[in-house]
Amino acid sequence: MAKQKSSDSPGTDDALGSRPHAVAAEPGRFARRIDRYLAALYLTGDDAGELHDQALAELTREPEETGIALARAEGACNRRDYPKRWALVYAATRLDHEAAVPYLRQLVLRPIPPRDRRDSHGLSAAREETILRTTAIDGLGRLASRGNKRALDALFECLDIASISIRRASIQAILSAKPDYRKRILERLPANFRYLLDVKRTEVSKVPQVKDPRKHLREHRPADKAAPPRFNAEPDKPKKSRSPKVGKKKPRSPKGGKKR
Amino acid sequence: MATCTQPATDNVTSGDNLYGARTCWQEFVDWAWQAYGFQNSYWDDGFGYEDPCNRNLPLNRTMNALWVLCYSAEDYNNDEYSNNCLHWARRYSWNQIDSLRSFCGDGTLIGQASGSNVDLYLGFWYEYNAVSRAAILLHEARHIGGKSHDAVFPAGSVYGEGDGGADSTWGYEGAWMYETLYLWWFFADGRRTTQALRDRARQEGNVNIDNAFATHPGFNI
Repeated sequence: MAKQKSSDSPGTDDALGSRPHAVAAEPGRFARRIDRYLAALYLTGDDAGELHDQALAELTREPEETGIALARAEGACNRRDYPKRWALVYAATRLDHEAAVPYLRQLVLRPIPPRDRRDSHGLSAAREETILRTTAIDGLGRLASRGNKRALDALFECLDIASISIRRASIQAILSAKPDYRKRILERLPANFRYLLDVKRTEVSKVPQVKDPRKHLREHRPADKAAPPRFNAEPDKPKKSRSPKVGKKKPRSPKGGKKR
Repeated sequence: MATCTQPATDNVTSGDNLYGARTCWQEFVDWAWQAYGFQNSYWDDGFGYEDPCNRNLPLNRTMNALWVLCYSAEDYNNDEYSNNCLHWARRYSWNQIDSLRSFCGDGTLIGQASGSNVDLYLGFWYEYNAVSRAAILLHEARHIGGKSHDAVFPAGSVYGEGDGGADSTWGYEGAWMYETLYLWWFFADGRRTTQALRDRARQEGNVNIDNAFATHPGFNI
């Protein structure tokens, strides 16, 4: 909820330091393939699709070993580096290979760490861990849809986990693969989670939108602030999209910083 | 004075290499600095004021989230409120937020509306990708618009069953709905981004739908 500044609100003199971080070196061709694939996942531009496909082809060349390497890499991550951990799980789902099933299954069944925050605006480790697991479930679902029985069995195991999202994702994955399994799912679900069977995947344009965002603007606002600058080149080529005024100079500290 | 340390971070998977290349752009930095009311006293001492292109530092990582808000719609200059949320989120957020401020925090918060300001803490920059950060800023902007959470989290919620901080329904049009709707539109129609970041937005949106509303809306992404 919106909070008012408390009397012991931190001041402006907080300081952020850096220290060299040891990079976990995991030499070997699988680590290099994984790094290349992760890099390709976050590329844009004309050749991004081609680079992605090449990196994926490399990654899937030895799928069993790659599945193990992805699991190891995720296990070696800083536990709170959720973007990296998520990317590794996502990469495992992109393998689209049975070799990923043990890792994806094991990840979902791993107990979710207890909630460790005290406020709805704090980091919820349980939320982040759940997102890793629902992503893994989607990967299992893709395999189940292509007839992989181990993946389908794993999805049924996931139904036993007392998590709204894990159950909802598992239900939807099973029903995508086996539309006539509704009764089987119903039998496995506790009564208070059966409503999840009726949750429907929907297009965003078909759900209620904010009726009038202007109604929710703070009162007594001054006129709209100026719009951001246009970029006039492809953003995937940032060096060319820089303002000519800036040229190749590195941007300096912002202008007009207000001194407190 | 609180002192904190940058955690290890991977700028590829956080999207900061992708967006950081775009925000290293003087005109944008200067615009955002004014539009979102940055003050150098909050962003110096290692938070990035002295080095706005440094992707490891909070200022650049905040700028990356603002870039996502500003330029992710296909026709990004069309930010009329009659359009969808992907278009107007930028306008709504810069009109609501008087000042973005940086703090170390004690590890329990990632961001919060504080009067007409939004205070950001270490986890905001280092545990969320650039798109998630954009959605969080919209969430906080909605609070500045005067809408508090009005319900407790449902049974089994990842946010803590029975704790306050949920929105009662989707139709309440609270901060969770704003955040989730943004993620949903980003997944469906986000531009100048990658499929992985869009897919991640879908997962986040779904977890919000399942866990942040006292009454499940009955649909998902």
